[in-house]
Amino acid sequence: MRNTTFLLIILLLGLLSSCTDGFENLNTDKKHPQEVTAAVIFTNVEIELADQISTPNVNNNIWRLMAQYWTERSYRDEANYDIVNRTIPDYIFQVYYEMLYDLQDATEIIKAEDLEEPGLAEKEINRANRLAIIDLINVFIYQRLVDIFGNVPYTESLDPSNYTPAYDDAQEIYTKIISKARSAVATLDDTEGSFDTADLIYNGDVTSWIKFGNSLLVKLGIGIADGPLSALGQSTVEEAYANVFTSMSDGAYFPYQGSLPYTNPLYKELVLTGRHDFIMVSGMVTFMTDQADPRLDNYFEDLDGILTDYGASGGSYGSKVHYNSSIDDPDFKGFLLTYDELQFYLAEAAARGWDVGSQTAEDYFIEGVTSSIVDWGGTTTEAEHYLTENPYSSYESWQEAIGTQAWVAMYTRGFIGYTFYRRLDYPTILILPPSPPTGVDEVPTRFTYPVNEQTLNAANYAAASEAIGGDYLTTRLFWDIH
Amino acid sequence: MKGDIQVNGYFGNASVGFSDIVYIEGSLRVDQSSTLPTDNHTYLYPSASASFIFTKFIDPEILSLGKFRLNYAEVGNDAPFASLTNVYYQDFPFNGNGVASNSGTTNARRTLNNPDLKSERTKSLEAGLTLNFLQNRLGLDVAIYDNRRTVDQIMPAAISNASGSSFKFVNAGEVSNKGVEIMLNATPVKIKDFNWDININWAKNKSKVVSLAEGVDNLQLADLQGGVTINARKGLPLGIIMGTDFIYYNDERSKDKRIIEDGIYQKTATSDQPIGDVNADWTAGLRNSFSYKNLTFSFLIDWKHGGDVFSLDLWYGTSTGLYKESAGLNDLGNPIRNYVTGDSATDGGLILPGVLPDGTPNNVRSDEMGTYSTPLGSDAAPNAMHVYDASYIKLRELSLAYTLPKTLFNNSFIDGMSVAFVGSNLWILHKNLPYADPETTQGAGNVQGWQSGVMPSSRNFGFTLNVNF
Repeated sequence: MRNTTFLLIILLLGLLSSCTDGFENLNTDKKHPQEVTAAVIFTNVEIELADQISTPNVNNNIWRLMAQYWTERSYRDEANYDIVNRTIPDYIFQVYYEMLYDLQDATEIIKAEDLEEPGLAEKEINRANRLAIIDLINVFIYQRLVDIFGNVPYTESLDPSNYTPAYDDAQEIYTKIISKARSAVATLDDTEGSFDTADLIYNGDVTSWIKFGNSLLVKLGIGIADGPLSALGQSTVEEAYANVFTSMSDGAYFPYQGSLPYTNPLYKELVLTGRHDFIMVSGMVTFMTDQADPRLDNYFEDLDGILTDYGASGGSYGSKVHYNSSIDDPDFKGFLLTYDELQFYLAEAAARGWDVGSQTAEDYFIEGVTSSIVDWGGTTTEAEHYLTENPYSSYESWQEAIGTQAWVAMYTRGFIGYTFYRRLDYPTILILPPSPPTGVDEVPTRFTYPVNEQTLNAANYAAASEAIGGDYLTTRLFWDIH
Repeated sequence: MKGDIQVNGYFGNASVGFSDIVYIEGSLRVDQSSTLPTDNHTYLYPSASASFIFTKFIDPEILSLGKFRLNYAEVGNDAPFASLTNVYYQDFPFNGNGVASNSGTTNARRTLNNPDLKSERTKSLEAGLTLNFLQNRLGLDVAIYDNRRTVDQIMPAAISNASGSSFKFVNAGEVSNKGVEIMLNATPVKIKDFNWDININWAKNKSKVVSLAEGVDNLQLADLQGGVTINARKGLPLGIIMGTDFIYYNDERSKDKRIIEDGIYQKTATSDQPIGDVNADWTAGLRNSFSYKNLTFSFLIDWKHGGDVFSLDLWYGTSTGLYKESAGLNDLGNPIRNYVTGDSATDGGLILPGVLPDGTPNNVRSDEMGTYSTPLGSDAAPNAMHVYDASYIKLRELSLAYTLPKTLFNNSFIDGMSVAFVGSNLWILHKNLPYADPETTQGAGNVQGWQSGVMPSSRNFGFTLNVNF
């Protein structure tokens, strides 16, 4: 312990001072706004909704495959019902719940708007109209989620502080969204406008939205026509049918543009990326050929090419039958809810003996088929001829007539066609592909829940799976009793 | 995202030494950061260290340096730029109408910001011993660390999409890391013109997720193709691979107890089974260097033992028949790719190792080996089938250097010159992952343990010329 040294260094570089005044400003993202109007959010939801419904991207929309309108040539996983590898259910949850969250956000912004005189009463009507339109789109999306999965989060969803929302019973969700759609339709007042040009579907026209709302109620009612909510379905349809779309031009279409960025996703995913994988299925094309369907040339191209059984492997793309190239035009329209679709719902309602006016099931059926043929570029004469050759009475049951023809008419709108098939169990053209996942021995009746939910929302996932009878592709939804 | 961050830091430090034997040092730092909430943007973190040099108490002929050290340090950290407040993302106007949403375009996964973020903190406690013997010919350094924790780590945590978002910035809890690092240096030979140096290091780390943000049982770090996720799960190491697993007879988890039905592996219905751990058991390195006069030759061997990786390439490739497992002859001497028709003269297919549902050995030939969807991959097998041990032993580096004699440059403006030849990643001596380098992962940040579209890793050869003026 010689040479004891003692060393002490104290270094103070500064004392706490108040040079933090600019912090908040500094930490603000100046490229992105913290506040926007509800209108720009609403516009975006319309775009995203139309995109999600229209896209053929195999990561988020494979309904054209599920309906067996198309099949895949070389990458056949999705056509063979492998939805887990590409985590398709995860994308579906993500995309739809993001839209719903944005709609909720827009609702809050609209409610917080400080309206003033002059014209306060009119402005209040306009505000109520906008909120009602948002509710209708919210209902449209929730119906789709329930029809895809069964039970999904509803009452606890869209809360950023709840990381693990519970799932609601599918029947309860249907009941709630029907009542929400009813009150939205009752609120809509066409003496005033709504979103004006920010509404890309109807340009803010409230009269059109009233027709849309009633048409949506018919769709909701038919959605639960079978099963425990049948009575609610009937009263919903009977109450709404008189005020629905009256012509093809009333339908809800998304106006895709001829140039980027707002072209139809079909153009982006098929033309721009050069994806040559979707080919036509022998089931549908053979059926339509046998019936001499006037839509054959409008739906398909290269009909002298090779047809492929659904899900089977195939040779070169060039040798196959293809979809009609108008389908991947940049401005091919996006379909949300249409007049011809509605005619088949009404035909179904009439066939079930529900009161939907003096028209019979056959009348609605004829109107549905005719509108579809004309919309795809055919003539009424062609339609009459086709219906004479293949009349309503030529089918063994109303389920077969409506199921088959709705499926044909809903071509490219895979989810609607697939849902008609699930409810009516026709046409019998749909087959089990050659390599379905283990344990899948019939055409799937729902999608399994996202993989994400198993790890992030485990307890609620487990409860929901049990409640619906198991998280399988072949579990039947409550309205799918046959 | 780019943005300016301002941190005001205040730092105090004190150190004391006693007779070149004991040193004690302490510091304190206070930071104020612009990225934290204004009412909670100041955070303080201390550190302290002590060392004890005991060389003087032992014969210097034997022990040239002996030192014991103990450190405790906390390091505070702020949040990423602009992660407190939500903003909207604008898109191109549509016919003159503005377009904006809470996230970017479709498929851009939404992250919610959080106005309640706190600063994050890492605490570490380390003890170390350094011993150098025989005039530094032999050296040993051992370090043990404990409680190296990230407390309230700020990260975007994956949350249920039904909340309307995919991620939310949270203070995500606490991860502990405990481990040992050992380093040994030796000079076994040191004669007139020749020197041989060896340097060996060995490290082992055990991580454990101690806690997660409130309301979160499982923090998903990545959600990947193949239906596989990488997770932080409470009580387990950070980086658990989850997916579908085999089903084992009587839960006996051995390869020959996997249940096979109709030639196909039975698998769990859900993808929430832990099927791998991305963390290595231990890592090691060995460097040898030999120098003779002006010539130096050295090589480095790296060894990583353990850790798992899911191979998406094998997952799809074994299903579609890309790899050799789906070709060749089977036990009957027939091409595997033939269909199974019940005729032993032509039957293809494979008898997979495992048992039938009743526990007796599998005797059913798996069909479809010649198709796009064999039982070995994406179409039918559980994810666990393609989780591989990511161990490797590699010849990481080899170099030969020559320093030219200074006498060559007398009377010139050149002071010295050396040339070196260096090769790196030359040889994988051992690995268990077929067809790919286990070190190549899709890794970015927290994502490890998943491979897709792996490129062959490249050998690098370099030639260096150093001239000093």
